[in-house]
Amino acid sequence: MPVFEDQELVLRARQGSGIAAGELYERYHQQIFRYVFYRTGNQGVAEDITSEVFLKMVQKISDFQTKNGNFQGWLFRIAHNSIIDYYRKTQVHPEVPINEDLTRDTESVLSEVSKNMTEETLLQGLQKINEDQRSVIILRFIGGLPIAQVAGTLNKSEDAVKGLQRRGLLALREVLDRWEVSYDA
Amino acid sequence: MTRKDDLLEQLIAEIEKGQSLDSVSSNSSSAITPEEDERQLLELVCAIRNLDQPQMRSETADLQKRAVMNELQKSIQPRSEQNRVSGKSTPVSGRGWRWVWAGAFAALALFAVLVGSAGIWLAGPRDAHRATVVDVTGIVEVASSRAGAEWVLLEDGDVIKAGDHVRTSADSGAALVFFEGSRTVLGEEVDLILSTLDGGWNKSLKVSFNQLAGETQHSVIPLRGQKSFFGVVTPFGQVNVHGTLFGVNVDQDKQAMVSVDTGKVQVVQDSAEVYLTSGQATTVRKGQALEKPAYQFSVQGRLTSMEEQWTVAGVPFTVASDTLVLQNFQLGDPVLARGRILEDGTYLADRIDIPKNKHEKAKLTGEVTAVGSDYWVIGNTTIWFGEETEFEGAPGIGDVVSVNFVVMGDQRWVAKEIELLNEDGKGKADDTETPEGTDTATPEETITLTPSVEETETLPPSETPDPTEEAFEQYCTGNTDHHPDGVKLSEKHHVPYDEIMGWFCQKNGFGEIDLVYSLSLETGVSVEEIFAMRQAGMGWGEIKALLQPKPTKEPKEKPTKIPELPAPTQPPAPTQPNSPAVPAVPGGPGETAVPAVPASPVKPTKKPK
Repeated sequence: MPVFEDQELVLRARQGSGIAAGELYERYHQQIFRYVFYRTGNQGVAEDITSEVFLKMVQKISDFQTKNGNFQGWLFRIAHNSIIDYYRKTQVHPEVPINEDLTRDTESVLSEVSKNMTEETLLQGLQKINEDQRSVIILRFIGGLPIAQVAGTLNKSEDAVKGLQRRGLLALREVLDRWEVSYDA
Repeated sequence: MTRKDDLLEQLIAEIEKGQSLDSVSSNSSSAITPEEDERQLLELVCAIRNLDQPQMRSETADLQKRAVMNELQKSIQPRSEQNRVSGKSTPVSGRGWRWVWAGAFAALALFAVLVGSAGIWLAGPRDAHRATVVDVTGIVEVASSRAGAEWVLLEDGDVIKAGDHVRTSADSGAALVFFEGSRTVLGEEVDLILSTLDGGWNKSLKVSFNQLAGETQHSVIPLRGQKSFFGVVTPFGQVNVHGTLFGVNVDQDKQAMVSVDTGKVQVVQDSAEVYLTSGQATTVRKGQALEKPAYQFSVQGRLTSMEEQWTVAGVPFTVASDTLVLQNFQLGDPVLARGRILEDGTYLADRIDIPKNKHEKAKLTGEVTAVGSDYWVIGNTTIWFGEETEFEGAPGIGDVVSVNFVVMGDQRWVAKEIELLNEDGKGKADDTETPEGTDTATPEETITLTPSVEETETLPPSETPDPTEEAFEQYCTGNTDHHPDGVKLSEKHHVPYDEIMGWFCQKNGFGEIDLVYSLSLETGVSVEEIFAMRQAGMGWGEIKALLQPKPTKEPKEKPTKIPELPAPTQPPAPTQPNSPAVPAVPGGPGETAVPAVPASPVKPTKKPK
């Protein structure tokens, strides 16, 4: 199948091509899912919010500026806003870990987590750092977005994102070091 | 931002470009050589990037993708006529009570018992008035016939009755099971009214649907009694059946298709009607006459050509101006095309839509016109088979089959599975009665019928008792009722009804009996002799080949000669629809002989039923 640019798929979707909309979903659903998963810590919630993101994508696709806009960043912005909506509706503060395991203190976590970094330890470690820092690290290294798109998604300046990135990594390193989790390359 | 923030971002950017951590760290010539602190942070970044990341479950992703595609269709073409109510609601069922005077009550009660007893008998079994809902997936709702009734979610085991309005949402479906075992499967986004539902103690069944949208599949047990009927009504026309497997798909305001898997159905449109037999389909479009019945094809896969013809899964087909194309397709898009194989061999698409999955598949139906050692000719198409080919039933020349096939690199169409559709000789195309007058049809409404080849495969055969056994019980055990098919054959072949039923009660199907009498008339061989050949174990293909050495019923490009010679390596290639790469015909285009014709070719793999 020919590889279409995001912009072309968006234009085709606007003209009513379900295939194009499906292709956009195929292209980005895992990235969006991972971002939401690391933000919420729950597979089911992450799947639901991912679904919501793409339905909103379809409903708002005529609003997207195809000439200058970055579709991936636009999609992540929808996801970011959907997560905020989710926390607002559920009255759960994002900085309070929603997974039962994550509510335990550091010592009990330390006794259970793997000594090598895994998806689970990263998830738990991320819950221990500041929300903005967490968002930047997830968007940057799990979502794979460049600084500019992260800035656009979070509505912050690139310099602010760079600062959040460094401070977030330092905080995460501190948590993982305290848990004696190895992350050597 | 500090200088360190900037430095870290530059180092991360190097890693994202593909540089290893060591090369970034050891690059002493670089102005951005990391200090120990940065190196640790880069290690952490690399560790995060290299983690096995969580994945959304594939089945969830498939569902979501379809929902996204459906949502787009809805946002582009909102369904104005739908007045959907989401969520679970409960129908109002308030019922008052009244005072009844004791004396009057006693008299009324006695009267009710007497009338009720008679009424119950006349009304038939209680279950006959309701259909049980099973296999519910997603959102399936019902609204009763009462004015202002609300939509109520249906669950497995619920029942519906005449007058109920049923609808299914996207990615939803259900099946309705009637009291005598007939079954209707509702696909997604079906909108229909069960307008009639009744039955009798002898398992007679009266069912009619008013189908407004979506795709339904019906597995109908042969109907009992003259008053039984099973029909699907649309404003365009009506489909009547008497025991068959068929599909109806309504594309609102566009076109209509009806397809038959096995058996025979009548499609009525105003004063015009056509009969479809096994494997056939027809299309009804707004303002156009009913199309003649034709065999079907369906192909699913990537669109690889959009020139004069479209090509999917290696199968070229024609897209006409009135073909219903449901998306703005482009090369490379996955598509599902369904259509008819016209008499001249043209594969004409009737409906092109987005497939439900990514599997590549191709299927056609048709009559076997010639058989060779490693190929069959079905209609005008040469189908090859090999060790992997699976056979269901024992088809021979003249039989109607369904073929799942793949197009090989050398353009040969190779069968994966061949299934006999007209078992017992029923539902053959030769039996089709297509009355004149189809040109007069001028539908005023906008709802159509459309067939589905694939969905009927999902109907569980175990739900359908052997109809022949039931018919034997009813008509071969001293019952004075006349079997309608027996009466028809008696009139058709001008022989006594009892003679027809004599053969029937020896466990021959009416289709077979019809075939034998027709063959007898055509060849001069007695009916008894032909039945004897059958009882000796000969297949219908063998019998026909023996009795009709030079078939002449189809004068066009079909083979006209079946010599008793070994098979050559290159069989004749009747018109392969739009497929020039079919192996050359030995002897040139004028050669019509079909060599090497064991009537029952080798069947390498027998698929257990």
